[in-house]
Amino acid sequence: MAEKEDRIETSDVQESLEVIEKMERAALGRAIPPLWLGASIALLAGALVALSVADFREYHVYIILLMAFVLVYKAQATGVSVRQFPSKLTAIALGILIPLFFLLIVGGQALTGLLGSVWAPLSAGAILAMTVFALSLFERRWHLTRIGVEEGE
Amino acid sequence: MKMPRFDTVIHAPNRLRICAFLAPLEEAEFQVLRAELDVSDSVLSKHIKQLEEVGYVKQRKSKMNGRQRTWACLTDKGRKAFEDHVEELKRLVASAEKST
Repeated sequence: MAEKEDRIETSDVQESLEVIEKMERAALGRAIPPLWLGASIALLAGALVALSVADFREYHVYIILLMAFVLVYKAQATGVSVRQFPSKLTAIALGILIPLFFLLIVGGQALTGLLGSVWAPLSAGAILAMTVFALSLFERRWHLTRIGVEEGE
Repeated sequence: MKMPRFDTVIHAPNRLRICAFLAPLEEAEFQVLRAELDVSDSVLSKHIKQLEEVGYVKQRKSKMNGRQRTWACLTDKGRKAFEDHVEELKRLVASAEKST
């Protein structure tokens, strides 16, 4: 190994490390979730809640299939798929979304008498859609910060 | 104890860049890799094949809109070898800094 170390210039090694960092940043840059992805998933998640509140559960399968299609399309369009989601961020997001999802369904159904059979599902769906979109923006910001890029650069 | 290892297969410039690009990803499409590396299809294919031969990279083909697309990903073995290689490079730099 000592012989190998003698043959490898430190500047070359340093350069290799810089190349590695540059390529990793390029990969992460390509993996940044596009805005349309957050918006699409937010709309579909909102639709899922609205349909649940309106008691149209037979349409859930179409929404879930559309979500899967959007995720596959995103990987195809960007040419990369991310290996790891930021685990802490995912845990926080799920911790917010799962209780909120059920709360909005129960709350929306309870408020149907007050708001009507159209506005109660729409309001519950809109609340979840806005929350999902806000979380997607947060995730996007997290990725941009990780690679040291400002939004809009 | 983890033993860092300098990997001559990975260290070649283009293969190092391929591994570094694939490391944070699940997989990447061939054309994306080609664009990032700024090399020809044949050069990229050659390096990917070399990495595939030692079990560091795996390829899969998919069809979309009638067009065949090739995706590449690091295998567990490749990921481990790359991590060890990076660790070894860092160790070399640190030991060189210490000796100066």
